[in-house]
Amino acid sequence: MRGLRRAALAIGIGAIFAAALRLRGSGGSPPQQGEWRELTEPDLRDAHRVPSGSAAVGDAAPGSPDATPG
Amino acid sequence: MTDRHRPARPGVAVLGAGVVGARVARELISSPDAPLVTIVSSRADRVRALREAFGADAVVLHSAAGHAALPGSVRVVVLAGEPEGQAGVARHHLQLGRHVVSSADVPETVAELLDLHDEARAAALSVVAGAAFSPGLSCLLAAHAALGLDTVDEVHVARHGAGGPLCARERLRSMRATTKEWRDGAWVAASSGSGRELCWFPDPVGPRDCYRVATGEALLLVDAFAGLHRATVRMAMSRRDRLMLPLPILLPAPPEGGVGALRVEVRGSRDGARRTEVLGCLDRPGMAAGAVAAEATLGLLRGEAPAGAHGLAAWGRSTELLAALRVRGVRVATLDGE
Repeated sequence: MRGLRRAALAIGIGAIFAAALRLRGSGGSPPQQGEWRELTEPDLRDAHRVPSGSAAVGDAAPGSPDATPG
Repeated sequence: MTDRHRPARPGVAVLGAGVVGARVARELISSPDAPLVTIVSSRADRVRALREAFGADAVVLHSAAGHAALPGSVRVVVLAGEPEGQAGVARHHLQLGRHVVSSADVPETVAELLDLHDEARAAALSVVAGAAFSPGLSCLLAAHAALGLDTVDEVHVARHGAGGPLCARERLRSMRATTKEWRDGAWVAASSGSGRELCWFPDPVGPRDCYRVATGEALLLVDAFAGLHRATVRMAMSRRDRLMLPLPILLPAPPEGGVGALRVEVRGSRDGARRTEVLGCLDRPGMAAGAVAAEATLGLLRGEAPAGAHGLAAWGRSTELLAALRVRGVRVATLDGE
């Protein structure tokens, strides 16, 4: 009976240590500056430049051989 | 123009009528160039509710298997139900000459859908994988952020929240499964729930601890961006989420999740200097997913998509799609500053 109690106590202590290890920590550093700004219609209309070398594979314009007939 | 001379409206079938499926149908019906919408659900109670809600605007069919005999006018099929078996359903509809849009984010399903590329391309049809909140909107944000760079070598996606009960179940699955990250041109296995990173989402969600999860999003990013060195996907988890992760969840998920958020960080170079672009979004994931899938569907009907199987980042039309989503109330933001 005493052995059983010791085993239960050991498991309990182990579980508490495991939970503490799993949950501890500060989570890293937040950004130091900057703020979110909604992209408005002009932002989306005046799209950035088209990248070179990083272009998405599906840059097919409507009507091009790769575009689907819809 | 008389009805006789009006061109016939194309049809769209939405298979799966949960939070996302119903929202896709709603968004399609409310479009100026609305197609004829058929919704298929395996749940009789859901069929009744949707018939009452949509009235004559949509045809709601009941099918125990989740897919019924569809009208001949259907040109696009939206798969918004269970992710398992979607590739087989997609192949079936490709063979019938229909485009396919899927909202699934399970890695195996996304990989199987991308494997349909040659088949779809040969038929001059499109399979759009991961057309939802994340993946989907996140892919569009990545593609849009990439427009400000000359080269892109890293894309890091973080997400918070879930849509309907199916999405919540998939969220839980993604937290438990082993994941793969794209590092230096190779897939590297990693444990879900590891790799804690504090990610700053748009307010009021704000900073959240995010961890690696198993989703198909990285597959879509690697497919879309040639020469990508790193692609990671993380999800916000609370301490309770992490503590309860190994335990069975006995309570049902809520009908719809609350506010969700996205943060997409794209790193690369511009004019020879290193640069990072960060875009984000704050919305209900189910509603945003419905809007994204609806815009993808309308894009397919207009013939704007590349043939083959890709995610939305590969369309090369992120600006137009984000502008269209803005009209539907999906607002995105950029992080100004360093």
